[in-house]
Amino acid sequence: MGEAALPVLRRLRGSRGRPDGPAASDTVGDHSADAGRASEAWRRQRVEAFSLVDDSRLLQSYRLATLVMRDRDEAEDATQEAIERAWSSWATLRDTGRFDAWFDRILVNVCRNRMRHIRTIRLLPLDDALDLAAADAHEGTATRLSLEPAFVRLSPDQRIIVVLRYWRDLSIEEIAERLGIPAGTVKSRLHYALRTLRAAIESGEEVRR
Amino acid sequence: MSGRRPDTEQAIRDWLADSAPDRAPASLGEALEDATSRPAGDARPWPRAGGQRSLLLVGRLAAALALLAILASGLYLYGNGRPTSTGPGSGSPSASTTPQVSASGTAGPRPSAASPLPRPTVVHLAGSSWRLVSGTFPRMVAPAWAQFEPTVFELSGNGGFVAFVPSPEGVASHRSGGAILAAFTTAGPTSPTSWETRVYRSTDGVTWTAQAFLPNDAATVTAVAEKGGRLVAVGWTGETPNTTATAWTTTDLLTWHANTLPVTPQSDTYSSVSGVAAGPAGFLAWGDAGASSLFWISPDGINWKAIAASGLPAEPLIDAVYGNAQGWEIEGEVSDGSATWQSNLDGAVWTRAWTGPATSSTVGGHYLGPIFKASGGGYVSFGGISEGGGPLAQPNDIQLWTSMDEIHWTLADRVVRPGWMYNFGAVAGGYVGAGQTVIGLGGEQGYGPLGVWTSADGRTWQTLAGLPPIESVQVLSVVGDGIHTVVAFVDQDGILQLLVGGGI
Repeated sequence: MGEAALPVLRRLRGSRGRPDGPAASDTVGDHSADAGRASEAWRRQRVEAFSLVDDSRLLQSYRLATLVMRDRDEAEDATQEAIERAWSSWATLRDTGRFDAWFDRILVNVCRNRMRHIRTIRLLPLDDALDLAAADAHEGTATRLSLEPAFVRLSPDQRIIVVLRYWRDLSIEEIAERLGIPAGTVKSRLHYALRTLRAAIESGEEVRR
Repeated sequence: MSGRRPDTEQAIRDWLADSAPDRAPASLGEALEDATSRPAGDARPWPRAGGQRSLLLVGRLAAALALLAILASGLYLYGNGRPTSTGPGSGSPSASTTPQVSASGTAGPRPSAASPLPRPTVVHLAGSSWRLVSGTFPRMVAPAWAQFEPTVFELSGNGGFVAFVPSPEGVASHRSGGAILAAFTTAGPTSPTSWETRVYRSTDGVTWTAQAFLPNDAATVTAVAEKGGRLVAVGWTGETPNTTATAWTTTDLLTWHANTLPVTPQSDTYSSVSGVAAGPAGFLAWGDAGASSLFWISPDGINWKAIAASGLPAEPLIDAVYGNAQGWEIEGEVSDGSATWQSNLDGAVWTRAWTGPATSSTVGGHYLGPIFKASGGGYVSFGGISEGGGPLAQPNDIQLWTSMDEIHWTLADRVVRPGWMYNFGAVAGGYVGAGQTVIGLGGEQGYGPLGVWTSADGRTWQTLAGLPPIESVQVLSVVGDGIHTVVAFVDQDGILQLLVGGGI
């Protein structure tokens, strides 16, 4: 864990057992002693789970959002929103051990919703594109440059699936579980996305020749 | 750069890895701190048990080891050029029937008479009528993007089942007198440069008979349809990305016509067929050529023409195509949900018939899944739910849909998925789902051994009794012919095995 995360972690660990806010907010509707203990245990589990969100986990989430959205500012906003939504909708997580998958799911949904409201297509910041062009000496740069415009033309769901498949190395079934859609749908969307990207790559290769 | 076509998947991996940022902005840590200082909403916590965080890691390691095992076994296989008892070099060649191949197909000598197979190993599951069948088929390859195709399909005409098994076994001895012919390529560790796809038939799912080889090398079958005693299989030949859309037609599973489907000149570098369905006017196939979606229609499965479909999005996201009395129906996706389109009789004119509920931040998204005739009449679909607000929004649940006409759908029950169950089939008296069980005791969950579940109504699922722990498998299909049910799965070595049962 990086040093920057330590204050967050210490603060979260220090908060274990303290009220998370107004008692009414966490009332579960049953004021019995059992329900109170369950609620307390639930709050504790939430704090414990979030205490494990360290710099590395944040970076992974930010990377995922950046790769899907192709815009670092948007990715930063999306990751922040996902953090907030995850904390406030903790009750939708049935198994704490599946925190990572659950958080990924929230994040990609935030990304998807945000992308649907972005009217204009944004490419990589210009300086990044220039960095890639400067590295043209090595084979494959043209291929990668040709991928960028093709990727941003994909639908939000296709982008998410491509990133989960080829950056996260998730299986079709794992992606289906993350997105809550049938595995066949994942395969279908991946198929179409690959077709588009493949055409872009080959188009770039033709230009180079 | 050489003239070799670039590896699309590797290029994407490289590009994503290159463009991933190195550092996260400091604001994220602050956002975490801010968010976690707030109270949560008034939601009831779910009961949960302690977890074992290492399980997913173990699962990934197992997957990696499985991949290495496949690689190693494949290398051994090709390195030895091992012949097979079911291969053309050692099987029972046909002297009586000459394979018929259309002018557009790729011809090659193929035995076409049914051949007996080695007696399978059949294990009766304790506490159920199901049987585990193994030892019937040769080792399979996964031709496309390391994904196995469904492989086993039901025969709706006369009942029973057909299997299309792509295997490199026998290629070396058949083509080169035992010389090593196949080798891995950059397409993937499980993709050899050549394989043969053999057709098998069974009336009960247990006893199989080898029929014929498809009359093309490197044939991949993605779907089948039947009409008027004719069976059409579709897919492609060759390795991705150099694939050619192909349909194979037969009336007896022994003699096959291969037909290369027509594509526009600009898109003839690669093409493939994703599905096929029988309708009033014949067969409708859908797939892509170059960067374009394509539909093909054929009255008989032999003569095909590409059709210009109107009324569909430019790049329709098609999940499935079904035939009906009016023509064909597409089940697919629009930007924020599911939709269906209905065609006219010749499949050229389409109209959006139904649009599902849109995704929202409060209710999430609901997606149609595979469609089946409901045991009580009408239709049912086992779909999914994307994340939404509210304490009852459970990831991984099944969204059950119902319909009376297969076109217009109504949200029915939300069903807790009993495991990683993503393959469904309609069988006599109900439904069968298959996938992998969940390991872990409520906390950390990972992918366990093969899981099969049965249900009479699609809502309440029971675990199949007596199933031995079969690890590291991929379920390919769940099919039923009205009497028998077959769950086809492949293990990490590419060995196809079957679970065979009756109805529910």
